[in-house]
Amino acid sequence: MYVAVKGGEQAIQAAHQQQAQRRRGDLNIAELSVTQIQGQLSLGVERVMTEGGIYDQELAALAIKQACGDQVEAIFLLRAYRTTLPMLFTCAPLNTQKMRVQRRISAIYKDLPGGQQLGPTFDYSHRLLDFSLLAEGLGKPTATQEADASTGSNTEANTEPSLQQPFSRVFNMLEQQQLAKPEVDCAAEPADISRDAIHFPCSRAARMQQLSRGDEGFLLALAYSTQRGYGRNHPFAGEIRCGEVALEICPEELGFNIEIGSVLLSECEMVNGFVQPKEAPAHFTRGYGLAFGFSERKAMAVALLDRALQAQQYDEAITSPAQDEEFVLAHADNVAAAGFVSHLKLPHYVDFQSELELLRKMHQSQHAPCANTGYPSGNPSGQPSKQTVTKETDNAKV
Amino acid sequence: MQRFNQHLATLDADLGYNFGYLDEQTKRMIRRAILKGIAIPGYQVPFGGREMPMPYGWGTGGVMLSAAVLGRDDVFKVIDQGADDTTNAVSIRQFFAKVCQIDTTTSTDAASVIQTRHRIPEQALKHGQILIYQVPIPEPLRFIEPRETETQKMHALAEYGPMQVKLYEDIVKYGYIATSYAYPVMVNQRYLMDPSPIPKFDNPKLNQSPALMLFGAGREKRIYCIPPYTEVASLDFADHPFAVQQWSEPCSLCHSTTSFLDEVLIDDQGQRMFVCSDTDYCQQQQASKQEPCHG
Amino acid sequence: MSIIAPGFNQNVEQSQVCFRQLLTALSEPGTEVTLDQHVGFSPLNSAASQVILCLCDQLTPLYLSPFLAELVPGSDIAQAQRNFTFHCNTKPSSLVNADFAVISSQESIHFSRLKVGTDEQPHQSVTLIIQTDDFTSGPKLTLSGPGIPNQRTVQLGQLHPKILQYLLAPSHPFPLGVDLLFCHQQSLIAISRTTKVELASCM
Repeated sequence: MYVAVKGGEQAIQAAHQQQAQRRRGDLNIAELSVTQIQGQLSLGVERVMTEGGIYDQELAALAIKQACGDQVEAIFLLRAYRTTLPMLFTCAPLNTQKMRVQRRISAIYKDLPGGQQLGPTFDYSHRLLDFSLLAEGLGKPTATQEADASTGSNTEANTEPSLQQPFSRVFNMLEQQQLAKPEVDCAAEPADISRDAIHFPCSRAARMQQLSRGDEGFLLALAYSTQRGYGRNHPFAGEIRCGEVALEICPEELGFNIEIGSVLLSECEMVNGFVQPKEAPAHFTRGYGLAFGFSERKAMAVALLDRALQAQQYDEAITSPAQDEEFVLAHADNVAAAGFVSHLKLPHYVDFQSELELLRKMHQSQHAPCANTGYPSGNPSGQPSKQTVTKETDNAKV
Repeated sequence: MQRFNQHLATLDADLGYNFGYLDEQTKRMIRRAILKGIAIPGYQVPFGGREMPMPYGWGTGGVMLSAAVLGRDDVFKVIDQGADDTTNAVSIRQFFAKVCQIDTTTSTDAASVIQTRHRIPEQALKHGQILIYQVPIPEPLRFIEPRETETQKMHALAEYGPMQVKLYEDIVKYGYIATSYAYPVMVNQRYLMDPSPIPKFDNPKLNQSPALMLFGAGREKRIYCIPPYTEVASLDFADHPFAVQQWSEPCSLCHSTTSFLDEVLIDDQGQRMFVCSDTDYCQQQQASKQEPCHG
Repeated sequence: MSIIAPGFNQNVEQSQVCFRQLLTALSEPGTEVTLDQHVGFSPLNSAASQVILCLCDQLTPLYLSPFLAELVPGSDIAQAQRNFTFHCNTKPSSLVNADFAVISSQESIHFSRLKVGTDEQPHQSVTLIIQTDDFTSGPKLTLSGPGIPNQRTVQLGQLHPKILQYLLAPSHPFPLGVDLLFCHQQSLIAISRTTKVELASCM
């Protein structure tokens, strides 16, 4: 006899308990500390901060620990926490020109003021598993570190830490030669996508925010598609720089800016295909990307998409997904995407029952039902009728 | 150290979060959106939806509405698929019991505010009650026109022809309107509205309801409303009038012949039985039928 | 002299109680509700003040008509604005740009200049709070529309002809429009833009 399912509360509790056990794993192995994650899984921490929308290594590391290393889950944890925080100050615009550069490369000039600074990167590492890392607890440098130090395949690159004097930006130099148009602050109050719903068509501020918080995998794939001809925009990596940038606020009672700390940022400016407007000399266009930490793959993807989404502004035909503002921005957020995809796990008994009822009604109206198979009697093979299998589901199962 | 204390405080939900979880400024913003929604029945008001501690798609829109509406004196009921004891309903009810310390109930009659996913209770709602719907896709035209910029224009011009065409094509193709849930309605003869994925069985309950209905889509950041005593018409054609689902057998537990039934498979030979989806209603019916026997 | 008067002393609870009254008022136009959580910032009456305390903040430009102060001797409209700014962070605004505006029922205003929303964004419209003398005098009005089973009859006090004219024949086609909250002491009656207003026929 059927008994209505009860005991949801106990089931939820048990699920939490099992997940907690799985997270901790083998009790004979020392627990991973938040400090270890923060210090040794820094790229993971930085992605979680970027997409989680909070610059806080400790909280991001905690989220990663709690989420068993699931980045999307960790990002969600951080976002949910973020909504409970009061907004105390709006900082002054960051000046990335004054970045204390740890890494800076340009792919368009062999040498340039400030030089090429390779900094920490996987770029020229040979992707060979480093088995010496298996021998844990050794204080000496690992094989990868030694190998990277000796090869230095980019002979131009200066591997010394940067001087503290600011580097000129590659784009400023292009602007001086009238090869690029200066970006001018339109002085409008920037949108805040964390407080107001995005309204399409949206401002560039809203777009940049949504891209910066967007899922790295999704943005990377779309950026890649532009390189394969789906909205090609002829990019050159004009400049990628990573380093600390000072954070300043201007308290009303002081009336001048004070530095309250710094954030580690990756910034990418792409030099893109040129245009020849009537009122100005022909010039390159640009795409811009910014992310927390050493996240240059993300920053590059954002820059490619920022440029792809300027299609309308340059009267380019909008033919590809990456150029479609609503398509890109409405689907970039992995907290939203993961939530909606995973909601299919929730019960849909009622909607499914509604579909069953309709399907059976359609069976009945066409043929007298056959008691044994449940399929229309006109189909003695017992196979579903054509009508059954071709029925389109044009409603999302929601 | 200060941060550590802050985290400790949040461990204690009673102390760490505001009443209803949301901060007052967010509640205010939601409340303004609700009032505009009521003034323009069926129109989707954009609002600054927030991340909530449950995933988007799992009822955040409904949760935000409930958080903005609930007060200390409310009695709160949560149902999913009509049932109070599905895990998602349990989870949301526990959340509010924790962040609001309010009374919860499974009784439709005793509730002042009901949050629901996919059903309207069988028992007729009363004047003064508020029904809050969780909405996944608020835009009824979304599967005809995926672009927000386009559907906005269609609503502005009340250009709903494509929806009629879609329903008509269903009839040509299948002999029936092939939409069995999230069946589109016209509100107050002006706005086309998605009533959320309730079965079309529930659509007639929307019309001239004495209860206030609020719809929240968290991920899509939209709120819309139907005031009490408002005309809500399900789309149809003169030769294919709107009709609700029917079952050839009654509920196996309470023998109701008028409620929405869930199908339950009882063996792997395809044997099945039907039971009420609304658990509170089913229990009331069972109780009222048993009384004469015991009495 | 600038003295800040107290706002809600239990902000979370009192805001919620006020909101639920407003929810009833607007979803059932013509129904009188009571707002009794605050005495008000003169020259605004109690109900009008509570609407603002409950709903407004830095995102909602607020207009308070100077005409209100003329009706209440010794009151100062700037002082009321300062109180709202202190408690809700509101910013004073012109009537044309206001999301919330408080005026007197005796006042002549140009409805055509108010924010009424657009066809695509009809919600971007002003909520007009009208202070009136009572709900027992003035023309008898019959209301129908959403939130009203059959009909409801109300009196909204003596109304300036322009206000009465807007009620009877709104100059903006739905869904554009203005939502009206009539306030007298602690009482409030809402007229939604969906509400059809007619002069009750004399029996």
